[in-house]
Amino acid sequence: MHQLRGAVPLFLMFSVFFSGCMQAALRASPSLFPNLAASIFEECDPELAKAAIPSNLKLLEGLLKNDPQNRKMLTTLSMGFAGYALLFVEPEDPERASALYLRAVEYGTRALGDKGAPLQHRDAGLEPLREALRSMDQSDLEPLFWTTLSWNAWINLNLDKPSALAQLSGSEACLKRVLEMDDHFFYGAPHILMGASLAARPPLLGGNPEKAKSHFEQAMQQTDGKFFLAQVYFAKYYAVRVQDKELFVRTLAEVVRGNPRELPDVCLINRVMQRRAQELEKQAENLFL
Amino acid sequence: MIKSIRVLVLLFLLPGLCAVSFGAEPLTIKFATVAPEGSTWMNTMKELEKTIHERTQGQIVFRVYAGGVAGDELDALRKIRIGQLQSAAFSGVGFGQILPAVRVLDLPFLFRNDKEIDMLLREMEGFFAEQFRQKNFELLSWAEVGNVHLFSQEPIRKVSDLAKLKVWAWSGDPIAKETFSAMGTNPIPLAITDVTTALNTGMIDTVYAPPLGAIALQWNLYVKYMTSLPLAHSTGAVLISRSFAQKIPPEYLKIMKDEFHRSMDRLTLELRKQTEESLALLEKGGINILPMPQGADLQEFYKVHRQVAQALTGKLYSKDILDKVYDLLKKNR
Repeated sequence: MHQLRGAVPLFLMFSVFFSGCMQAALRASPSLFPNLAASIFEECDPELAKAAIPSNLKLLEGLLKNDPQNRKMLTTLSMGFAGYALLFVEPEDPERASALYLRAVEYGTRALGDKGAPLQHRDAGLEPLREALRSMDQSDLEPLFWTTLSWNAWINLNLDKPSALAQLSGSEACLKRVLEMDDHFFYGAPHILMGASLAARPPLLGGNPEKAKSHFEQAMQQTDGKFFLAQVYFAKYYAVRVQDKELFVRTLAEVVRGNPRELPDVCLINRVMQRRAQELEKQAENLFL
Repeated sequence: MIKSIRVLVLLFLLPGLCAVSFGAEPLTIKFATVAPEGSTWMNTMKELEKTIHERTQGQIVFRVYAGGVAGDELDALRKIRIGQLQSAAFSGVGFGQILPAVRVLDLPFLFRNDKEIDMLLREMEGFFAEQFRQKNFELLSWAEVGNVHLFSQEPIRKVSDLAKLKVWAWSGDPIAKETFSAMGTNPIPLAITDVTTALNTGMIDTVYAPPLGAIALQWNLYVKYMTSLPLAHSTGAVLISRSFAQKIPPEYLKIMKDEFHRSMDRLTLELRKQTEESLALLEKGGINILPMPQGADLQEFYKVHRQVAQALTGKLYSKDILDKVYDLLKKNR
């Protein structure tokens, strides 16, 4: 099934050489790109996904050249680069992940069209960005979400650069807008991101453990604890922030014991989070006093 | 015969075994900082941790609690006193509890340039190290926080401009309180965590921070002006519990101090470079950086220094310490 899906873009590519109507072909199959992304997130074998994603992304980038404004393709690329960096690159190679997140931001802002312009000049000041955010509607939610996730992640990997710190207010404004537009998007991911952002920073730098907890709880309630990203971030950021080792150990153990297939759409993320939970469990001694 | 050889072998081996097992028990130093993971501070700390580990053959292990997970400076201090932590990075807030005299270095308008700061810290390190020792702390190294500037809604070109502003003072900081009073205003004491909200609601319109700090705290979004003349230079230090330091073999403690000095010197240079970058970013973001006051206007600021320095003599530090500071600055100015 997955192989079949992978074969569709290949077929399309060849068909273009013969017919020269790539753009028309791409536009005639609007569900192709979302389906491609869906097939990746459904994949329960992380090794297979890790090997498959880069070639799929390169293929998409090639297809994009024939239809550079294709919103669906741009959004899928943003999601793909963000997901790949988050799941497979960041823990091993933060520098490389940082560059991949930037690529996700680029595609996401391009998908947002004119409304994404202030996001391309991310240090230009907050007012143009706020205005653009106000003008966005539900149809912008998906690219805005992946852009926001990637922008946040990029800042976190570049805290040693004043220019990255200066972008914090912008990325926060985006996250607030995403939350306001649809807090159920992608299994409550906006709550997870907000929770992590509020728990990762000390109160001195704008963190707020209480509010963070409430965001995490809302995310976990939405899926009844079936989307493990919520628990892993809850343990990693909130439990460490409030130095609650028992909560940390218990939450991670639940993830390790859980069934990743209970939420089939995100089996890949759940499987990777189970591995991450196991790695975090080993670090407990270093994270708690 | 065989038996006695075995005994002999055991006798020879045992002391060796014991020595190995005693020597192989590394000392773990739990260290706390509010600097977040990934910041320049923490990157420096990570390299330092590695170097010290290598140079002491794995006998000294640092376990770093970053991002303030061990609490703020005062929490860290409490935790060191009960032995939960052994070491932490401190600045004015912590010094106020440990050794208020060291805050003489935080006096407003004390320094004229970075060279003076470096000179004074170098010259007074031995003296303050001894003072810290009497308070049961070993000074591993100074650690610069940086020059603190005023950020405000209205321009501050001369001292009298402060009078019409609503100025924040870090609650519990005697220097801030005294400084703003000497500048003719009644500061509003608030915890640092309440500053953003107070700026947002207009309860205050003037704050102070290092430029990079202002960006990280996003205070720059609520103000229009920054003074070029630093309000003060904020000094920090890495301290370790003395009762714990006494358990560290002296040669290892020396390695630690040397490595901390080297790294913190490098960090200071890096932070100063980042301050320059921060100024450019602040300007780009619409902050108007006011030129240095000149002539009589500048002298007014220095007058504030003298008033504050005098008012706090006998409260934070002795006259002897203040004189020592002035002597050193005079000789090198």
